[in-house]
Amino acid sequence: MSFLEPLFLVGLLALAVPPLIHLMNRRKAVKVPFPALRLLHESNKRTAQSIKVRQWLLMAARILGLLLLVLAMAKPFVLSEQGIAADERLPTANVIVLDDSASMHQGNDWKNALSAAQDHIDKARPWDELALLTTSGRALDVDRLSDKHTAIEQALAELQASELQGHTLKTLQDAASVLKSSELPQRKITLITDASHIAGEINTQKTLDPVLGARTELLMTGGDNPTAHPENLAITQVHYEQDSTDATQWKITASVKNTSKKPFNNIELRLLFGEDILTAGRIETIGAGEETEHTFMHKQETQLTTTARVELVSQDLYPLDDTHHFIFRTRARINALLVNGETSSIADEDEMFFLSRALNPGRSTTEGIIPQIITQERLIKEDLAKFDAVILANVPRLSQGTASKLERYVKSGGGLLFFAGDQIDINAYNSTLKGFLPKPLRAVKEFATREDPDAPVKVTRFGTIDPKHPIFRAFSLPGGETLQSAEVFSTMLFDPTATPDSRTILFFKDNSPALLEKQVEKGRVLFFATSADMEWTSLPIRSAYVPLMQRAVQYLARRSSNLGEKDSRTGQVLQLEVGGLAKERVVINGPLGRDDTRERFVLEPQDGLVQFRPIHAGAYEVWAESDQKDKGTRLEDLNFAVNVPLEESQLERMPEQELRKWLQDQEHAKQGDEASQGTDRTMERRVNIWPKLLFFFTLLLLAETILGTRRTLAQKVFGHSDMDDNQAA
Amino acid sequence: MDHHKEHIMSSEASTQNHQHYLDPSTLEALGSMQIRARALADGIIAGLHRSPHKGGSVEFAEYKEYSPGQDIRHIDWKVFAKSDRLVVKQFEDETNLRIYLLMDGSGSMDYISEDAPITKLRYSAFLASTLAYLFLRQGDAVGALSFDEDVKQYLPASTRSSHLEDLFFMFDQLQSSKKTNMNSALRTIAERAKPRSLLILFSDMLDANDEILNFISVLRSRKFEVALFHIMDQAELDLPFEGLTQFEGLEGEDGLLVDPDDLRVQYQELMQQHIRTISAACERGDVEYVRCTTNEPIEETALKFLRGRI
Repeated sequence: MSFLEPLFLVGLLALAVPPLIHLMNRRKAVKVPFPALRLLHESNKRTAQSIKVRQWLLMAARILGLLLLVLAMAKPFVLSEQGIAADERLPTANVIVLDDSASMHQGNDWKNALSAAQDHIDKARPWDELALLTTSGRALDVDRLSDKHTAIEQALAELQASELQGHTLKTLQDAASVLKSSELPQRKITLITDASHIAGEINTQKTLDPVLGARTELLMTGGDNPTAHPENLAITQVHYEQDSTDATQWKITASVKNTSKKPFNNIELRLLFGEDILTAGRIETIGAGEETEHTFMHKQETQLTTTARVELVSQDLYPLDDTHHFIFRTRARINALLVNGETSSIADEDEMFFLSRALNPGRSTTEGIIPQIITQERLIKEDLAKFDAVILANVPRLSQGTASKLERYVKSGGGLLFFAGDQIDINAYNSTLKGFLPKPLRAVKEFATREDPDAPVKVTRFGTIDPKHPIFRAFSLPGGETLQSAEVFSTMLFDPTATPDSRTILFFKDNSPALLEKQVEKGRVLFFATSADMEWTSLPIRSAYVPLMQRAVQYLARRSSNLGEKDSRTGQVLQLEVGGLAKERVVINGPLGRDDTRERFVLEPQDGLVQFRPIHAGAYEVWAESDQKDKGTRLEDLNFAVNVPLEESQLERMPEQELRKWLQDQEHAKQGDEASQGTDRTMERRVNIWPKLLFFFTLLLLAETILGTRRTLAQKVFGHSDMDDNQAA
Repeated sequence: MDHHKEHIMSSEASTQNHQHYLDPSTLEALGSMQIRARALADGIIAGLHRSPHKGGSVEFAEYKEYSPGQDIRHIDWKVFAKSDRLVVKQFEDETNLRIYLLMDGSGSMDYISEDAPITKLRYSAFLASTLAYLFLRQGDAVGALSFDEDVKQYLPASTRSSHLEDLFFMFDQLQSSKKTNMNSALRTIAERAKPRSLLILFSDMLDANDEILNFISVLRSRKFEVALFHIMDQAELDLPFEGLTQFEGLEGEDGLLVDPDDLRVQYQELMQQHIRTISAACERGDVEYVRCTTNEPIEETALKFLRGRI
């Protein structure tokens, strides 16, 4: 034990005072003659023992009380880990970083987290400033430091664990930024977490830069005996395809991963369409850390678009990844009619060779873009209504009948794509197709032949794109620059006169149009100013060719960026291309079937695109609304599903000591060995003993008062006196 | 006749009459014992006038109206006090009452507390003087005996008016000494007094033990009429002292250093028990018992006794 004010120990000399006073009082006793001494002696004999005990107790209480008072004034303390450092006594700005990621749904972790946060707030002193941040990044009104603790308590009471991925490291740095705004002398970050998947974050980003610049405190939510390796199964993905031999049979395959350290046996799953259980399945065993697939077979004879899910029958510790939502639609494929203007027996010289493979690389006949190639002679006979898009590549000319058929097709909502070529009769095109060509054709311009050795300097290349156009949004991603690397040997020139409802969405380097678009009533027409094959351009062998062609066809078929086919996760910013389907307003509702967590996004399309961030897992439906119509239009084809992030399924907890050490390393920049090895007295964790001493001193004071109070005084205060009795007698 | 009456005047009644009585502390200033006794007697007589106690009888046959010239010693003053009529007692038997006043001169009787007007001994003296005056005036024979550890002085009973001077002198000169021997005094008076005498004992009874109390009862059986004035100082009842005190005895007892607050309750219980013992003994022995404190007016104390005899 040590003392903060040891000089006060001199007061121990005062312990001699009570005995001295007692001795002095004896000498100062008043002498009084009294006749009834016999009775006094008798009384004294009867009470001597109790008087002696009381007097000894009184003396002991006075001496002990003085001792406690002197010691308390000397401020004794002991060093202990349970103690408080000098710094901690100062007013503190404290940001609470609360892990509300999806993994907090496991067991009692969320309940423990709320309880820990509430306890922490209760212990805060009125002059401490608090703020609350969540690792999911959800905005709260209490993300700024304030001494109004009730606001944080209220926010906490309304908070639920999210279905989002947690970003603990980023949130810690946000917390450090918040603390910089405080003027209080002490700063602290309190992290409340289950420490799941945080090891992964730390492995990716070893240290925080800049450092936190504040003390850290860690509160784990796993309870007294947290399970380091929680047992968990997760449905990671679901995909479906039509059976190649029977178009009514569908294979729906679910991938199930065992994220724990021990195997799982007899795993039961089931497939639901809406709320109806269609079929069940079983996986015999999944080893630790392994992933297995299970395929459901489903017969679907009619066209259908519906919400669906695969779920584990028995939910485990972490239920959110036991269900995977998806949209099942039988019309996932795009039927494209390719009209070949120049057939060839030599494969790579065929006009449609590259295009057909770009549209359907896997040669699937059941999903994606299913091209059907015909010659132009058959075009007049084809039922164009079966097709989502019609592509004409280097077709020389069209009869009026065929032109009219194509015009009707486009006006009723179809998509039409023209590729230029050496076969095209410019006058015929301008004559028969002038109603829906984006611009009248002018002439072919040849920059170089393929064999020309100077071709690399003579050719033109693709230039600027309209980055907001749905076709070209993908080209902001890595790989998009290969478009500009393609060589263009010849191009079709267009009449420069402006044409209503037409626009250029891709230019050549010389600013001549490379890809034009025209809206024709409900449909769209694209005209590509170079060929679909290698004759006029090297684009077909560039990596940009495949996505460009696919996106162009998807755009014509109004299926672009359909989220239904994508694996979307909560917390991601999703983009939905609504194109011409919704012009004024898009309303997104979901998750369907859950009343507790309904979300509703009301969005205005910007360039045919809406952007939003769902935070709950489930199926969502899309509506188009306008002021002209009372009722919205359901856009079933745009319905989509969102699932919880796969990262949250990794429930393995980082050991507390390890995490604590890592946090401490992030507190301050290293300042040299001397500073780290020196003992900072302000950081000594002291347990002050003097408050307890003062408490006992107070008790002794009370005891001394009770023991030392004269009976006559007590009787005066509380009435009734024995003297009154005597007088009455 | 049941003479045991316990006369303990209530403080309320005492207050009502105080205004008519002499403050005991002023008695010393009055001069001789005769003057004091007379003054006290006047107050007593006046008190008797106001007394609700009427009637009663003594050993006489009848009353006769007083005629001027008759011996005024036979006037029944009690009747006069009650009815303002001067009447003369006609005795069946012309035997006068003999009264002996027994004065305790022990050391404890010389005690006076801070709030008391006079010592217990002086109080006894004044009280005895007054009674002697009244009794002699009505024709009774009065004697006295003072004692401490021995019998100090004895005056036989007499009705002569000059005997009153002797009595006053004796009472005025009363001194206390350390020890007392009440037993010896009572035996002495039992031998000397004639039967049917009234023995009035003035004492604080602090030394009274069972033997003494029994003997008092025995006196009654010997045809003596006994009355006890139990005279106390209020401080002896209350033990009002504060702070560490060295108590010293008045009769040579060992002293005691103690904080009175520590044993006050116990002491008061013992004192009350002592009083009850004495009172019970008097009741058993058919002894008239009057308890008083020195700050009560002497007239009141006397009236307590006299009213019961009317």
